[in-house]
Amino acid sequence: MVQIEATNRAGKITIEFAPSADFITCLIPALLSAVPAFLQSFMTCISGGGSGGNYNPGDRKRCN
Amino acid sequence: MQTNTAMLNEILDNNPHAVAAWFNDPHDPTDLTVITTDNSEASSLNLPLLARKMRLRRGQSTPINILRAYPTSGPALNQQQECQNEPIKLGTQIQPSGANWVGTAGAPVSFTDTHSNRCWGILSNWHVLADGDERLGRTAHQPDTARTAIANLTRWSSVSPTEENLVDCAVADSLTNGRHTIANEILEIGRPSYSILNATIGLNVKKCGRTTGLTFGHCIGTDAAISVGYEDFTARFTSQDVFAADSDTFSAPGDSGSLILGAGCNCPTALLFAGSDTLTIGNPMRLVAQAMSLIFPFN
Repeated sequence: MVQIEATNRAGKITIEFAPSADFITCLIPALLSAVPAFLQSFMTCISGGGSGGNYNPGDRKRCN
Repeated sequence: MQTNTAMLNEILDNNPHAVAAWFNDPHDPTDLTVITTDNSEASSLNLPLLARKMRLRRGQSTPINILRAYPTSGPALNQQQECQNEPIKLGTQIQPSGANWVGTAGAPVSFTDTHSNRCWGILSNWHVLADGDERLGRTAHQPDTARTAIANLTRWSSVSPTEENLVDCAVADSLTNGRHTIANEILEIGRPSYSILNATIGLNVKKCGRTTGLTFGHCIGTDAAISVGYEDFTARFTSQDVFAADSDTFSAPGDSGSLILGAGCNCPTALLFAGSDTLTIGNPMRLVAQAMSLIFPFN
């Protein structure tokens, strides 16, 4: 379980959630990247990306 | 005080036969290697004042050039040159549309395109995938243009004939009709690790390339300044890794684009792009990863 605390005019709020496997998979390498690249790396990774969506290897025959 | 890189550049600038220079020990600023294409005496080198007081090691090689090949038609000479069905293992021959050369599709990588979309594709060199027609979407074919395209040029870092260069690299998106054409695997090596390993002198390495296949070598220099021959110009590179073969040869024309990995861990270390009869030159993978916005892990 991950707990995030934030404070605004209404007072302190606490959000608790169970991270998915993707969250952890994406967070660790993102944390190791340079600080300016952190957000882009993490958000791109956690969202599963854009044009490619997810890695989806093909099995098409192309040699005969 | 002159920086190490500035001193190495000055050595190459002032000695027309010098093609590579590096310090042998990052903690010992008095131990210097200079590689030349002639066999003149060390005393004949035109060195900066400070370098004249250093312990100078001389080496000799042929000129250092990019390693793409110009094949004539004929049967594949090894599995790296054969057509593959999907998913295609890398370390394999590739040819961009409109080119008369081939190189190596070096490694499976995940990266972001210029619109921050995540892609999965091929890492190779700018002079393999982009040179001559730097165009988004330019197709790359395996093993050559007689077969269907397996990737589209997405990002590249052009080589300048006038400025100092750090990388010669490009990536191509392998998404074709909703499926990725490539495997997360390199021929004869398997799956690369997600951890980059910076080269250090003595590091044992391996690579799989289009011409020489799987070969083994070791690092003999880091942070080197190199003069590299392209077809129409000579380019200066700095911060480069230098490798030598364990036996026979480590690379040959056609191996450009191969991934050089730490032999013990399959850790990406450098991107092979140039060489001579005795030396192989690679862009440090940390610089390639930065230039191409590579994302780890692959999936």
